[in-house]
Amino acid sequence: MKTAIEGGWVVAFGKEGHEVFQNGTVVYENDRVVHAGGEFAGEVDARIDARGMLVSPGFINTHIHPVGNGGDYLLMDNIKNDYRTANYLSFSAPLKGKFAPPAPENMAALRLFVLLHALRHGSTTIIDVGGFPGEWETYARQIESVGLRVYAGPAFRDRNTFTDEQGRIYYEENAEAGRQGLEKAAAFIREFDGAADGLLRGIMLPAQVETCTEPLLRAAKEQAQKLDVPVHTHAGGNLLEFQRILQEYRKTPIAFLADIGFLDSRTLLGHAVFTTAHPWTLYPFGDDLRLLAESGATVGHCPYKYVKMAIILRSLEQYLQAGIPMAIGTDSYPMDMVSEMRWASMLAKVADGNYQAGRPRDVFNAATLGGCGFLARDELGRLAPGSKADIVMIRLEHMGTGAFRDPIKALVEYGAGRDVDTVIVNGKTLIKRRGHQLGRGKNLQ
Amino acid sequence: MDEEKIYNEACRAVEGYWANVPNWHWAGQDVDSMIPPAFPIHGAAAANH
Repeated sequence: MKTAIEGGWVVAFGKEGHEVFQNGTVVYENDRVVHAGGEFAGEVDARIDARGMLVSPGFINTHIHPVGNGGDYLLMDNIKNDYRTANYLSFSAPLKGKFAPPAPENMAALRLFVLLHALRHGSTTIIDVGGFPGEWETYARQIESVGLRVYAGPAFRDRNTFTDEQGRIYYEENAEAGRQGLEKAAAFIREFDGAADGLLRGIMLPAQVETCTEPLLRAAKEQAQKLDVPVHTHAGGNLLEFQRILQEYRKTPIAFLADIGFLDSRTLLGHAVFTTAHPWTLYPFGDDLRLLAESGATVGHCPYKYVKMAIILRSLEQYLQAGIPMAIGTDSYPMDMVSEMRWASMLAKVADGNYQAGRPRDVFNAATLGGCGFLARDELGRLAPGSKADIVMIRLEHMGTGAFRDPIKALVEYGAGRDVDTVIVNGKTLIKRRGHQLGRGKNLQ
Repeated sequence: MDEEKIYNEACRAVEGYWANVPNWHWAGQDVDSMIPPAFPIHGAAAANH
């Protein structure tokens, strides 16, 4: 069945990149776009009225912790009265043996909420960068029910972090846990990659650069290559990590990862804030941005999470000028990609003292095309014949937005995830007039 | 999907998680001492559903 979305501002994809058609048309049939741009002369079976809306490729959110971001955002909040674990220097670490993960039913409840929340705010693909282990069969069913594309896997590490009774952070190695974790991750990918009608895909997740030893990182990258899946780790995420890696390897986290062959075009790095480019590292040697650009690795930039801690990337403009592929994630609450683009744009200007930095074009590209490289999915992030029918319709012409000439600028500067009206993934309408449709017919309740 | 039910169940799951924080926090702090609310909150504690 051919469906035409008509009357809105269409973000089509041409030879040079995205281009906007006022009063444009997108036509999709089954799970693929057949036309995106101006008028469509062919016959269609159904029509969707998009007047007053931006018709955009769905956003690719490159950083979500489905259990954590649904609840522990408060613990990572900006005013946390615990300097050493305020996610500024480190991240929260419990007393050893005292932390129990949430019960499986609570994890399932949070995951379902997060999947739906992300979808409603315009994400059609999310990268689940790990967290609490879960029941994967339940997770696959939830993904199929909600209808969102998810890249996921069990995260693993061979160094755990704890605080002692005086509040001092320490690391404890457990090589066997790392080895088993990697085996489970590979087994998960073999079993679940392509599950949920192709919506669930695997990704290798060695947790953080400082919670994984060099052998584990090398082994993880090797497995990812064998399984032909992307790999993600958190790196350059906080100053404690930066200093720990420097102490252990006499290299920055980025240089270390580059040297062990971890970085390439199938690698996604979470954050990469603390690099040689960031003045707080006070590290005058080397050029992490050049290493990143040469490797082709993608940086998943999460501006809002970091600005809550008074930290900004230094800077989006520098990273783009260096040729680093940039994507956008949330890693916090809300999982609102529209607002995240605004944060990325505005903070880029402040970072460089340059009001022309953080262009709407660049942040929109990061939120759409930016997630495609490391996924090796050039049918996502764009609306063009042959691309996947992952489409977001966002209300623009209303009191909250006002008059505009450029809908992309209007979206980035005035829009919000709450303006998302309709979300289509794989040609199925999942959110319509802001309410979720039962996309797959499986009733979880 | 019953979004209200999904939201309420997520809120209940999170409140259980927050209630457990003093058990693993090194100083036994609860959430409200770690992250004080913006203004005093009167009435039912942390109930938004």
